Amino acid sequence: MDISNDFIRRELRESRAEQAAAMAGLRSLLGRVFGGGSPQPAAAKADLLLGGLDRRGFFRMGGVTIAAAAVFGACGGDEPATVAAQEEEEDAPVSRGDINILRTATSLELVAVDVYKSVAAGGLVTTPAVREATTEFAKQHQAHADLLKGHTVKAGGQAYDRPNPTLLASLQPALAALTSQAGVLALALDIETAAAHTYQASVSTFTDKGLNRIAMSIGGIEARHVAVLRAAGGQTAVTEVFQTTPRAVPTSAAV
Amino acid sequence: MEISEASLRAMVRDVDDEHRSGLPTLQDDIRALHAETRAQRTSRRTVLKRVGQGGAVLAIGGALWPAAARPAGAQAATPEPDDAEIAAFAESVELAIVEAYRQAVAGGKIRVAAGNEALTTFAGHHQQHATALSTLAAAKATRRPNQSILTKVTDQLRAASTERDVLKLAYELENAAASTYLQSLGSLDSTAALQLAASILPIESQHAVVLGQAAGVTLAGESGYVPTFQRSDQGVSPDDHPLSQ
Repeated sequence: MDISNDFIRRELRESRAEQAAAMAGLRSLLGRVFGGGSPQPAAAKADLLLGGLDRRGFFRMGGVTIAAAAVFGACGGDEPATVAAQEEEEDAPVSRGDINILRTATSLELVAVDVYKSVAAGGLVTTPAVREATTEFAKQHQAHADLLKGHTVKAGGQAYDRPNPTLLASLQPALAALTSQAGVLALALDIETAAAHTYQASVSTFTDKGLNRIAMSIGGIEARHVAVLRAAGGQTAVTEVFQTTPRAVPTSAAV
Repeated sequence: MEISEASLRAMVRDVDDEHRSGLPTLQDDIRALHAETRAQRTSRRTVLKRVGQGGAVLAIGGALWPAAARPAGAQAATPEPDDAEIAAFAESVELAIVEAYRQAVAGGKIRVAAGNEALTTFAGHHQQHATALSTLAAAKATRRPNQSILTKVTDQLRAASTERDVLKLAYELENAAASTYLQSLGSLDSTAALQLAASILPIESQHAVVLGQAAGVTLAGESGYVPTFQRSDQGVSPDDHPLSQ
């Protein structure tokens, strides 16, 4: 990817304030719902996060998920309830929690696909290198979703095949406010960061330990997306020595 | 190089000061969790040891670690590694990369200052990864670079004729490290070990992006710096690169 980004940087400077304003709404919304001491009842949090997902299952496990990782942690803490024989994996117990994590992750991947497609259709991405990257990222998120759907079925669950409707709806104001490529980069960076943190946070919460590898085979790529988007925006590509998960859904979101 | 020096410098701005403060806490956490989970280890898959796979997988960019170079049957009777042993091996890999980057900078083949700054910064990250891993490895930590890996990398560095060759080698090292951590996630048992590996893998992946861009690697495709999935076939194994004693 040839990144001579003077143009991108100029656009970034001009529109950073605009983007900050656009994202403020989303951040504020997520902060209100998931922030410590949130007055939102658990049911409201689940409604926001789970949308069309198996809400009852999540409630039973006491978890939620989305732009970050509390859902995964909460789901992983559920008592294992084997739901399907694992004929191909010799010792892979699978819980309803694993299935819900896989389904939720699928819905998040499809949100990313949808967002990338929307911004591509909007014609705001004008730099060829950035267009190449975002087009490729959309394809990769679709491939991630396909893999997750396959593992959901393999685990005895029903694959989820739509973008998370509630998260997608919550992103609409930010999408509608985009007016520049810099704004697209910032929004994409937000989504990719949340995804990377979410996968990392899911590690060690699975009943089937093999899913740790599946999660990070995707999470590692989301982290690469983050680095590419940061670089395209003229930012430091590697900002941590150990990746932390501040963008994961906080444990206070657990019900 | 396909990115400017200024771009590369901006991409790897030193963040050591910002993050070093978190390390003591991490080490304390690892110590506590390590003690707690040590006794809970159960049977595990054998991703790292690859028993019975003969000359199958062994990578770090193929050219560096050709399968043909492996001693035949070398891993026939290797026992399954525990978390401490896996951590000790990962520590040795990290320290080999630290030393490799030191050699790469000292070798003078990278003329762009930002390239040397990137390797120096990343070497600092790998050193911190090694320190965390040595805590997890406890008595099994060697605190030494993996000599087998280092020997091969040193040879490759000597053979490198251009700045791009050196950066490409560093790119492959980062991919190998990320791949090794992905493999380890199928073998590690304790929460502390799993979470440590999961916190390092994304960083090595991001190093690969920076170095891949600097080396002129393409973005997409399985050999690109953003493959569709993190590959697990580029990693290194303790069977092929045993710890230096």
